[in-house]
Amino acid sequence: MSLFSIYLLFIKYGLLSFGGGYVLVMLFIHDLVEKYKLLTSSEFGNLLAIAQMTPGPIGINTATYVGYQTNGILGGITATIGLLTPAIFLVLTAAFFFQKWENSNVVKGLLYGMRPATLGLIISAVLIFANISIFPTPVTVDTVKAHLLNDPAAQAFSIRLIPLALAIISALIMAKFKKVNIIYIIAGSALLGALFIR
Amino acid sequence: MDKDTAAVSKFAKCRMLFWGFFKIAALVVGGGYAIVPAAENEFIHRKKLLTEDELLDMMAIIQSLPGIIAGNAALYIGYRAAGVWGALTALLGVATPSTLIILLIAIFLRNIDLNIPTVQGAFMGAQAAITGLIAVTAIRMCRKTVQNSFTLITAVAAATATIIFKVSPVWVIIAGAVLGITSQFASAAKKGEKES
Repeated sequence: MSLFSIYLLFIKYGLLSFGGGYVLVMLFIHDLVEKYKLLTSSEFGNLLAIAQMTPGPIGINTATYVGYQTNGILGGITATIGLLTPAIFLVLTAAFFFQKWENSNVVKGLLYGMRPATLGLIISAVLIFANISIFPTPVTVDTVKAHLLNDPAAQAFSIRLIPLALAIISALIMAKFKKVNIIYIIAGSALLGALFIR
Repeated sequence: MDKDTAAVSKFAKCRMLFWGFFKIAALVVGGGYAIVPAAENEFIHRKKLLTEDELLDMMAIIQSLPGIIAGNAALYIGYRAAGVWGALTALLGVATPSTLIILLIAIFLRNIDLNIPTVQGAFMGAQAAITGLIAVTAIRMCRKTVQNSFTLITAVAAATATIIFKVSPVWVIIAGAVLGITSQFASAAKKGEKES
């Protein structure tokens, strides 16, 4: 596959990735594994593990890896640039118009409703992150329902104490010291996790 | 003279944006929302390039567009702080660490097994910290945003829709936008009636 077609392919993913990285992962499985056969499904599984086990947006991680697999280092960089290209135009256009019409009734109304909706999404993100760190059995509608209905397959809920302690300490530090660099909090918590979480 | 200082400060802002997003992308793990507390801390409280309202507006706008949350956030914050060049340097900052890390892994550690307790423990530790940090950010934003029954009901409905009914964030934000516009024009019409 030529560099240019890699670029075009990832522009397409950049345009279709509504709603975050996991949507993109489903797209990649459908396209790259099943349709174009650029990767086998075991390669993709391996790649997904690496993408999740390294820092950074999962979409960029996957794009770089797939691009490298097909066209080497340049392929990796090209795929990443392709993935980000549509956003450059879309986000800048949106930012420009929202700034320009900041005081119009339409923009004020849009933001008046979008702000609390986004707040709700951020609140639900707390649960998403707690489910991958603090709760060994994810707390979701399905697991709670299974529990309430006494489903014999239901898994017991419990709490991992060390991650819970790290979450609480991190929250307290951030709440108390507004200006502390939270990068250190995350790095420190990762170090403690590496030493003590088993 | 004035123009000179403006040019310098714009360059300084671009540098701030690049390294700010570089650090965020290098340490933020487990999904796009991790960028929220990191951006709040780095760009609102430490560098003072943004206000709290602007951060919430940003999350609303970028999630109704396609693209990676962290990349879109970099573009939006960069643009608000320092125009188009700000947007591009911030995007470069957010994309560089993960591209480098993945290329290095793909080149040198093809058969690496990351499934070892130490690595998993580090990731879980980072994700636990981010859980606490997002909770603090969410509480701060609640205090600022939830001021009447409309905002309270919309926020609760949005959280319920995503957690319990698994509605996609895009639809949640579009619904919020429709409600917001309706309420804005309804209150504008009421005002108009009173005045006439």
